[in-house]
Amino acid sequence: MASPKVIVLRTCDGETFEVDESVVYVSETIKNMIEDGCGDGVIPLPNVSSKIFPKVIEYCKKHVSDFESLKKTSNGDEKEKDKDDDSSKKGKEAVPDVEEDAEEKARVEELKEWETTYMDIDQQVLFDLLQAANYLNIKGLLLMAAEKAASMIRGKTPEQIRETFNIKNDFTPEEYEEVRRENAWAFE
Amino acid sequence: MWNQLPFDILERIFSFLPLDCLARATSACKHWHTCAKTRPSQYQAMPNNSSPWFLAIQKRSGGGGHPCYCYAHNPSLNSWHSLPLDFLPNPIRPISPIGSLLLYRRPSSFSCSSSSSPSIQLALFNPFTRQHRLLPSLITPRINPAVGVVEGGCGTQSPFKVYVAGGISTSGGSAASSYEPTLEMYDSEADKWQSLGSMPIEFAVRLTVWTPNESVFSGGILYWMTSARAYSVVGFDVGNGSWKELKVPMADRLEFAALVRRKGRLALVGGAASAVEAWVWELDEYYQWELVETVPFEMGKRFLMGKRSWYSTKCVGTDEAICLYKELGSEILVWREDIAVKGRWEWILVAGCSSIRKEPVPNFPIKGILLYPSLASSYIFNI
Repeated sequence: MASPKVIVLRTCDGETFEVDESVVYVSETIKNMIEDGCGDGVIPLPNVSSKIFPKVIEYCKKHVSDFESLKKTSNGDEKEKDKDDDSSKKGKEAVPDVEEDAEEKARVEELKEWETTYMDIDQQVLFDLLQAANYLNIKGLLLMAAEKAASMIRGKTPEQIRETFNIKNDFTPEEYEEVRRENAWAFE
Repeated sequence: MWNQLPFDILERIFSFLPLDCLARATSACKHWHTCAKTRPSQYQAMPNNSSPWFLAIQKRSGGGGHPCYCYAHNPSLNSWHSLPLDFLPNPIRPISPIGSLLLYRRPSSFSCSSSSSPSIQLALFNPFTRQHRLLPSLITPRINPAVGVVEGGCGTQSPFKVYVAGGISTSGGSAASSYEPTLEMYDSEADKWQSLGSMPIEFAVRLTVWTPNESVFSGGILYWMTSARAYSVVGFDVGNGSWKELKVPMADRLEFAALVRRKGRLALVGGAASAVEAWVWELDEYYQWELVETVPFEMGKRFLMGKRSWYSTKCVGTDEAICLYKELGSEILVWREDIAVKGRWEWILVAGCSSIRKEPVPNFPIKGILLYPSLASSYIFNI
């Protein structure tokens, strides 16, 4: 195997970052660009800021070994139209099924703890993370961030949701009344 | 910021929300509302999101101008919601779920079209969005036929077909009624009925049902349970148009019997007369019934509330769950795939609905339906 290659990337605000190839490969977007031959120059990331990029790289570094051991390419593990979905490929993280292996169990536990700490972020960072994970096509990160956002929505009234996420109510009074009537059953 | 998040990302977030949370989130801003309505989430990220909801539809209105209600059981919170059906003529006769929609029969007083022949009139609605529409009128007017559904996929935008077979003929004036030995089929993509020709008269007779039962589509065949004495199963092969009949195991000993689909296969749930015994059989590839499960005695006893009769027990099922139920307030006996351990099935009892928002609810007779709910707008309402 060749010695680890370093890739140079430039975020939208002009900062450059040097990262091991194996780490950035966790991003499908970057991986495709490298495979298309852009890996020797500076790879531009117009939709990612220098503020959020280190956070993304932190995720990638943690998941490099998973990625390599699974050797999967962009195989969607999301369920499309398959109703008989009793396989375990349900859009989970790239963590293999837990065999009755103590070492494996410990590893999963450790990863869970790491994820909890990693996702202890405010809604501003979460917002940037969602956008970055989506643009860079890092499925596991996107799902983790989406689940975190969902947990911040769960159990809240619309007013509370707006407050949490700094959203303005842009319905007209008539529209809002219509929407509330439509969903009246959920307000119990 | 958050109210401009691309729909791709928002859809992912929404896929983690149980339906009632999603419904509240759609009231946050227009952007979120539009996303939920136009992007049915295909990402079943959480097991709870792919659990079907048990809907209990009131069979008779309470009188006094009150509408009928659909009581919906939320599997993730184990709580009940009430959805008024005031936008529909009451009472409706639910037939079958189609994705996240419900196919129903309108009450007979509404079934007269411009011609003088009364006929079954079918319609669709989404109980959570209040969208509804009538299907076009049948080609051959008839009442009380068997109705079967074949879904083209799963998801709110999938096409489907509705088959109507048998029934009592009502065209040709008021002379002695006779059976209608024909079939017709509605294709959602064409939004039209098409005649499929004739069918053997003996099947038309057996399928003329007074209490419509859900059909089960499995292995290319649409199956119905006949409700005549001594249960039997009738099957129509939609591919080659042939009919077949299957015997029901222990047919003379069963007090109730219902067909459900379990993991893609045809299954039969039956309760013994005068005994707290009930079983589930599956049809194997040789069209033989194989006993796959016996209802645990203690659970059966509790479900029957001390009686030794399965009379008035009804059953409904999807690929992931089978529910035995009685009235609205009675416990529901559920056999479902374990959320945590795939491949393992568990029996549980779910409390019936006796109150909503602390107001007591009468113990209405109900028709139960298992449905995968969605807030998205289906194409069928825009035709």
